[in-house]
Amino acid sequence: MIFSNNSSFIKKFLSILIAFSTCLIIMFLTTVFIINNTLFNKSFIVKNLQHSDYIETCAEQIRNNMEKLGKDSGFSSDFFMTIASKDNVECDILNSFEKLYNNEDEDHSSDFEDMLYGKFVEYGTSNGYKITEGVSDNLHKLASFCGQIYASHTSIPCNAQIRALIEMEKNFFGVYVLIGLTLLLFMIIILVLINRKKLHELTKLLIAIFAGSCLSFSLILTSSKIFNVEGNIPISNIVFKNFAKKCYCEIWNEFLIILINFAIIFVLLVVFYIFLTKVYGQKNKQKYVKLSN
Amino acid sequence: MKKNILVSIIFLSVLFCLAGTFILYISLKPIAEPYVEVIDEVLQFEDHEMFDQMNFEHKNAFFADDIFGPNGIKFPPKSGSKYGKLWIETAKINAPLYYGDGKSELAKGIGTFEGAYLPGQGRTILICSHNMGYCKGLGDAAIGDQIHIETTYGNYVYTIVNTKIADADDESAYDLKKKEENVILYTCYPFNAYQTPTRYFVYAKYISGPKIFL
Repeated sequence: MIFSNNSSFIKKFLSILIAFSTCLIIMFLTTVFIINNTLFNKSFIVKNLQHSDYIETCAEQIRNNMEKLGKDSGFSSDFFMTIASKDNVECDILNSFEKLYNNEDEDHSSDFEDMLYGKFVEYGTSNGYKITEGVSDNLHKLASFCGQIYASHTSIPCNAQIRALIEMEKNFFGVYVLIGLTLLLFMIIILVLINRKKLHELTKLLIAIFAGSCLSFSLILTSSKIFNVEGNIPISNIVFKNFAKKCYCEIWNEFLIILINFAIIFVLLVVFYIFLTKVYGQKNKQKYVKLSN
Repeated sequence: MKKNILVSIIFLSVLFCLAGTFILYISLKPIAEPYVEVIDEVLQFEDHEMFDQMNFEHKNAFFADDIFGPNGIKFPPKSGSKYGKLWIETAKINAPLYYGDGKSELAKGIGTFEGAYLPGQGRTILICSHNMGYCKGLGDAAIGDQIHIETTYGNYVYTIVNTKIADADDESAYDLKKKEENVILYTCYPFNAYQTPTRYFVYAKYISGPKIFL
């Protein structure tokens, strides 16, 4: 039996409870840190944007939409291919994300539409069309529509709501971490105080804490692979889905790194425990020999 | 002894793992669930369906002086001009349709609010008339009845899906930002009252008719 008498039982029960709470706090803090360093981190998002096919697919969708427009409005089929180059689209998309994370308003300037209108007039005059007032109006409308297509693909949906979420996270992240670390310190101090004369008992609880965290993260990571969470991301838009898959993989890897670190700590604690057991065992042996003598 | 220690460590680890994972799951699920439910709706580019259904008579329409609709008729109509007619058989409404809803237009027929859209544009069409005039029978129009709108550029059919009595100032009675073709026809209420603050709204959804470039 693990527990022998009442006061010892209460101490052990309390130790286990506090150890479990410590394990929970460590897991919670780890999750919060990872989420903060990934989804709410501009560099992480920008890196994944550039390494995924998001920008290229957006540029392709913009060109396809404009090409359809071109076919029905008198432009040659390849005219719009030059409008939305991958570099322009990349620059504007990255700019949108930059403003999102800096809590700045989106820039809705008419530069793109003005540029488009200029190209339309150039195309028209080079093909022998007369740019009358009516034609100019039509081309302005067309430029405005193309601008809407471009803006919808280079800006972020629900920008205001996502900005508010990011701001809230920025404001509260420090508070949560401070509270978490304070509680963690408090728990560890109590654990040490309760088990101050039993270092091996304390070590055993620490082993259980890190082993429990390791097992939890292993369970989460393994089950996410078994249930194919990556393939079942509930986003129908293929552009966003692929980007979400890339981010998911990176977050999964971050958790794996944490799991490995916890595993290393677990192994070190086990080695320390074995060392303690041997030293404690030798001391007891010597005591026994002295007493018998 | 060693075996007992090993068993106790394993037992504690598994207990922490299962209980910890369970607590994390039930505490994070209510936070994440609302976002997961809306994420698909949120992460969409603006709908450009209209764009796929452009229907121009002339290939070089943008280089012509006017934008042409499916029948080669100028679109949009001139403000204040008659551009069609509206009829609802069951309500015995058959009236000319004007672009604009000022005194002049309402005196001659049924008016279309210029701040909204026109039939074929895939958005909300807000139409009104006087209760003592062309829309006095609007109360007889029931859910399922059809509204026919014949325009200079095409014929449209809508089905009534709802009716409502609301204040003239009640902005919830009409949604001009709706991204699907629908008609809101309204008149003063009660039907025999003069200069009343209440309106009778009839809502209809699109059934057929040519789509127009926005």
